[in-house]
Amino acid sequence: MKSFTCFLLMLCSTSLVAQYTISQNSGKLKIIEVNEVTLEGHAGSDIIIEVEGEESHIPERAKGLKLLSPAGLEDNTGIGLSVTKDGTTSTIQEVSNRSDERYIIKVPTGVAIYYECSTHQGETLIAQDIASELEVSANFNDVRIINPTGPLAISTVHGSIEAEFENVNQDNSISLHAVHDHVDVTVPSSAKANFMLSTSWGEMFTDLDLDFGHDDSDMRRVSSNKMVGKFNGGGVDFSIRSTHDDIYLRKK
Amino acid sequence: MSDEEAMMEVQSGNTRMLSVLFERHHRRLYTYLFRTTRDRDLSEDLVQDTFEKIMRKRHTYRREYPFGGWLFRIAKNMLNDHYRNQKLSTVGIEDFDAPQDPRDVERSHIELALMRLKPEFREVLTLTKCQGMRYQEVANIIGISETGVKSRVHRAVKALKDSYVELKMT
Amino acid sequence: MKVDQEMLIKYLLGETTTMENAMITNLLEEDLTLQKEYQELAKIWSELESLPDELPSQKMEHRFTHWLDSMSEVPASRKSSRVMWLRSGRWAAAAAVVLLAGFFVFHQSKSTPVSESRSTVTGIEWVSSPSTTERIQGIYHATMKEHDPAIVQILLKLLREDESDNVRLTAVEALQTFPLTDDIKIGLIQALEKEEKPVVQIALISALVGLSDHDAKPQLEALIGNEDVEKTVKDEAQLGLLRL
Repeated sequence: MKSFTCFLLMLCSTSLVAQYTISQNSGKLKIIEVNEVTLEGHAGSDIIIEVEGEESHIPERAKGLKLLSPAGLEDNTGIGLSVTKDGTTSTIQEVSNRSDERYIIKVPTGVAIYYECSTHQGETLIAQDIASELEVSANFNDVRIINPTGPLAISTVHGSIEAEFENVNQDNSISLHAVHDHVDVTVPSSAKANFMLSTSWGEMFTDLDLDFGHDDSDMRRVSSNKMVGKFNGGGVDFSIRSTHDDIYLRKK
Repeated sequence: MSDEEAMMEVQSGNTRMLSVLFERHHRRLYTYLFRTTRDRDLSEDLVQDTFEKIMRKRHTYRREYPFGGWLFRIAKNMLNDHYRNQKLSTVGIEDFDAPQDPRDVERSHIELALMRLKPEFREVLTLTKCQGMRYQEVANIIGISETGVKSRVHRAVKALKDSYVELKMT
Repeated sequence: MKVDQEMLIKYLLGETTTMENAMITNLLEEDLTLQKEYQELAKIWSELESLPDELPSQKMEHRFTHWLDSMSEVPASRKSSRVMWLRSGRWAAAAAVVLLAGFFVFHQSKSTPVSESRSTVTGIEWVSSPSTTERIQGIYHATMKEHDPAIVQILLKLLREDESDNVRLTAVEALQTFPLTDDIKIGLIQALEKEEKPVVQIALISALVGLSDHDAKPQLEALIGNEDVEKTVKDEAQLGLLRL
């Protein structure tokens, strides 16, 4: 009976989620060229990587062999990722280039995150409940940020940025910068911030009382180009930019 | 940003930052050199030479050196070198015959009185009074003791007063 | 004690003791000759203090600028210089020491007039912070508070050397809030030549176009002709050329 339970547990852990753990609760985590990622903040002391969706696509023929990438990366995690550690920095890179798995990476509060993805296979990056610094340098990814409480520096060229704040931490600067797609930000009506909004070709819409413009419509267009506006008397520096598309700034 | 931070920047390779330091200090450095030498061209050359020397010696700068003092000390050395090259000793500045400056006619009484003093007196008066430096800073720059500076300032004040009174009588 | 000219000079220079002071003040009230003598000294002294700085000729400044231009090394490949920049982690400590030193000097010299050129002290420890967002926040603060020309040089340095696109991006935006100088213009153009990240390339193009910098035309044309440059950047350059 005992061995049967053991067997069941093993079955559960291997078939439900393929998982890899990096023991790290401070320093930096770099995620380089991993196409589909969901980042989740958690209170644990390890970085935990789980694979969602399709089970491994490794062909039968490749059993017992190691996957190599043209970049010389080696799958040392068993889940299609290469993980290397250098001092206090861990780097995660995707080995296969035809992967369609989404990696869910649970990150402890003390680990700063850097995500970089330049290829057009980059899918939506989701970041949920992240309390540490998050920097994103993306080319094609959309970026969705839910309930961030750490500082943010996000840029993407072709994707959009949408961010929803439960509260705006006064210790952190926030910079959200898209080029060809929109930026949509929701903040609580009590948030304190100095908003710096700018666009070269798009328009800006807001229902926040930023002390400029006299339009009565619900979401009013404030002006084109660049403006600085205090919300609730001002607070943390909060920069939002979309070069070619629109900016939406809402309260909830 | 403080001068010292700017100089550390120059040292770490951001040589453009030297323009900030030039902007802040070239006039007072020029004033010191001109009041001491009474030679415009020479003073302008020395200001330029001093900044060129700073660029060459940037690696010897230490962040605990107040930048102003360091700058003036280098300038003073350049000035000494200049006189030495002219086969004049440092003391020999006294005998140095400065060219006449057409702008002298527009100068105020006090300025003319100052101009008539020995170079070493003009030097300490300019540094202490016009540049607001402490005796210790001046001592570092001109390379004599603090007591030496103090006594020189005293003699300079006395000489300035005599020169002023004398000018007034003519 | 006899009060002679030597004593008066000491008094004038603030080198007399409290006891001597009291005595001299009394004597000055009684002895009119001495009083006259002192007034003359004090007058000369204050006139000397208010003497304006000498004005060097314009050519001196030109000569310096010209020389510095010729000196400014073309930055080595960005990679290597970035490494140096990052290595200067001691920088923060250095800056802190400088700030402390500045504080110390300031306090020491309080009794004597502080020359006007002693600059405002703005901490720049943030420049070498390992945290991207702290560097970004540093830029916001430094540029919002005051327009210290020294900050322009810091921004240009960040634009050349910072490893983070987001920091370089913020530097480009911050530079646009300063009055346009040749330094800024040249800095932006040089950055455009070196920059490889599309998001920063586009920000640079839009900054140069916004500043109506016609000197940037050759760089924009070069981008359009460069096969390694992403299409979206080429489009932006094309658009920029049309607007210039």
